[in-house]
Amino acid sequence: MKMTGGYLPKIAGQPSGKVRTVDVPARLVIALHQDGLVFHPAVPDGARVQAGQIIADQEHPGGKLALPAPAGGTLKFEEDAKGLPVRLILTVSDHTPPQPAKRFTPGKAKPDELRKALAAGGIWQRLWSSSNGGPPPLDPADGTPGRIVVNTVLSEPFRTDSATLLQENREAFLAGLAFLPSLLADGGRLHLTATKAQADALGKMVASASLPQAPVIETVPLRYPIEHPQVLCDALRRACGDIQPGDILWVLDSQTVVAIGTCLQDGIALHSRLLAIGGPGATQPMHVRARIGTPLNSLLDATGTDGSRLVLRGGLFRGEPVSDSCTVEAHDDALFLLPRTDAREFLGFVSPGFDRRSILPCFASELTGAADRHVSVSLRGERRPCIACGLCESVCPVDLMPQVLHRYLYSDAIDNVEATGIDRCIDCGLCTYVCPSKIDLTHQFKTARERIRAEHAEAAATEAAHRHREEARQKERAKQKDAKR
Amino acid sequence: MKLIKNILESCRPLFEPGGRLRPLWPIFEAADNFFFSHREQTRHAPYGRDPIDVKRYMSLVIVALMPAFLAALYFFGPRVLLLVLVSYVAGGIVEVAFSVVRKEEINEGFLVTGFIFPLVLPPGLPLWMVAAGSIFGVLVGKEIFGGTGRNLFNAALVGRCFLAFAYPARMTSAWVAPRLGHWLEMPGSLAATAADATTMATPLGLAKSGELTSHWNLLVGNIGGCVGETSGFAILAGGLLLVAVGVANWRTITGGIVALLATAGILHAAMPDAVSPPLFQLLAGGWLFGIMFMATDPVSGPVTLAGKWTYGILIGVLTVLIRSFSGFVEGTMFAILFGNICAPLIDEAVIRLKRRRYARQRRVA
Repeated sequence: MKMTGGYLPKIAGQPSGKVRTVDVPARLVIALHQDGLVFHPAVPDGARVQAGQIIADQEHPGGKLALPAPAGGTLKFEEDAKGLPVRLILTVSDHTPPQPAKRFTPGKAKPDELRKALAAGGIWQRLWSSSNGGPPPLDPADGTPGRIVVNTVLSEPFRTDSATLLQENREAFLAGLAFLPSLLADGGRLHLTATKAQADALGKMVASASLPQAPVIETVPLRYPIEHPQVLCDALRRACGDIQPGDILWVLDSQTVVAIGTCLQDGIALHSRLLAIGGPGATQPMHVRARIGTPLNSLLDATGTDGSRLVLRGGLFRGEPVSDSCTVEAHDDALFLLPRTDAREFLGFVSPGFDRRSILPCFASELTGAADRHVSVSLRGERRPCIACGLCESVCPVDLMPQVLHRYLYSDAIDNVEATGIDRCIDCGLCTYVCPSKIDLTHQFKTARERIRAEHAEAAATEAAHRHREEARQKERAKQKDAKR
Repeated sequence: MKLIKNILESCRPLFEPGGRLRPLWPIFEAADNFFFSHREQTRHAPYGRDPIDVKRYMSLVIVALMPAFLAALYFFGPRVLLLVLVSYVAGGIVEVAFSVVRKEEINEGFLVTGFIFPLVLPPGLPLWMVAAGSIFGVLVGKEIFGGTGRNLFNAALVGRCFLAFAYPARMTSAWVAPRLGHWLEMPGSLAATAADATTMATPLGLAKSGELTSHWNLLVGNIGGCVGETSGFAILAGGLLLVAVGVANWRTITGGIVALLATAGILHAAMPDAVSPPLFQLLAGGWLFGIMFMATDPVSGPVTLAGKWTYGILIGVLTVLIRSFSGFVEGTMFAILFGNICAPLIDEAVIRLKRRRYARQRRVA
């Protein structure tokens, strides 16, 4: 499969294949606001819960999404100023993983039962459907996928490495692959993406497993943001001519497939995550396995990281800063550590640049192959007006012209911004990363999209009000006419 | 390093809010950020950024101009240094004055404009004319539009165009024969003007009377012509470096060169007397310098990548047409300026095509 645009910088601090399992702390904290969803407690305050028991849920088309307890213990609510619960504090009394619930056999279970089990196991919200750009509806009547794409390539520096994940979860991954065809529509197909380097090994692994439906191995470039579901779907549609416009595509990553395998084959709900901790600020870049709800600072302690770092939840491009009080959530797979530095380099712009790497091959590291060790919280340059260098357009994975959108926004031509495809933006952050004028393009586009959405909502509300008033007036007239008669 | 840091830090309070020299903050900031990297931190995702910045970008252009500049020094003597100095000082004053009045940063773009401008002038031009052209170029070509990044035209070319129209006689007669490296023996040559030097017609001028300069001489540069435009080898070396590091857009250059060769090839075959052969057109005059260093100025060209092809092609075709069928001997400058005028139009066409594609894809999805 081919992708347009994209770029992958070589950054120092790539996590090693070593996995350290972090001890389950005495207190786990589960956020009720996650993945853009708001969960509600499903058990009373102060209740004792078993590991794997549903402790919070949320209405979703066709059923309910759930958050299972990652360990056994006593649950307490933490409320916000309005008295609404925002976090669940679990005082752990039982460290053992969740007890096996119902187990299934691939090919024999009914699809709706599998769907219910995945929702109860806290996994359904990890699926992405092209029909709504989020978790698919739970009821099979609302649509079954023509294709399921399992993506093993997480290119963003630095998300969980698939090879490391599969090393310790091979069986669960294969079990997950065995269950996925049951969720497909009739005649549907399963695809497995891999880089050129990994495709052979993955193909052999899959072939040795005697799966009910062998997935089609798709080779993808190791270029960010190939892992974005929208980018993957577009690439797949281009590569396979037989996908109809109305066909539904689901995308999930390898960690989700492992969770599906564990949940359906062993009956164990999602309770832990494998996270990559890396970046130039990481003293020991590595992978850690942690129970959901574990405070992030205990993860950082485990990898010997001190406090003078900006911790990003997610990778370099999409990661947002988090405080030490945050905890591991079900979607986490990366912590990127950026050094906080105030040091100012003498005549930095003429430096040969053995320790930095740019999209433009203008530093000496191009010759040595060295990674960028200099990336930090620094803007790395002064803010300047756009010089139309075109770098943003060349890296955009969704064929946008960020420099044109920026110019429209500069002149407040919001209609032109809308007409020039701003709704296609996937917030990958690449344009902002490469901009030599240091313009916060992604942030500008996000704000513009919100503004457009608000304007549309306002216009719709005004129109509805007009319509309502007009209808009321006509009714009134009709009444008066009737009265005259 | 420490000394500079101490000086800057001790001066900082004078320029900070409440300081006596507050209005001159842009000058202090420019000096501070020249010596030490900017200290600002990221405020939005992505929180880490690529090391490329406008300073590095522009310094790469300066480095790429060095072969042409050194060749000019070799062929035309130390007066070239004086031309560059005058251009920098005169244009620099305008740039700084506008930054102070606008309370905005001094932009690195000027370092390139101030360097390119003297390289596209006849070597024997009086220094006051260089100053006048530089001031006009920076003022009218750039500052009145809002500074680097907002200008419609290539500022150096606006300055040159001004001189070409204001002083046509001087601009067409100030050609000096190259001194081939003997300039060290001529200390008095610094202030020399056209009157003191041996004049020499340019290859394009000679071509009008049917005399074609050899390709080798055009490549080496021991010919008459603008300061930095005579040596094809030096320009190609710098231009290729600029393409290799990704600063000059290869689309504009490829489009331009292919269009120039094709147009000249076709027209030369049809009208050999009126149109010079394609390879001569490629190497003679300011074409190579123009397409490598001025047509690739990203700000005054189209902003869209697809537009850069059209832009290059337009410049290539126009250059041949102006050279062959107008009263002007050289057409590169007018072709690029015309390209600058058309750039927004080219962008508009590209944007409309893209919008159509978006609509089509939306229907499919």
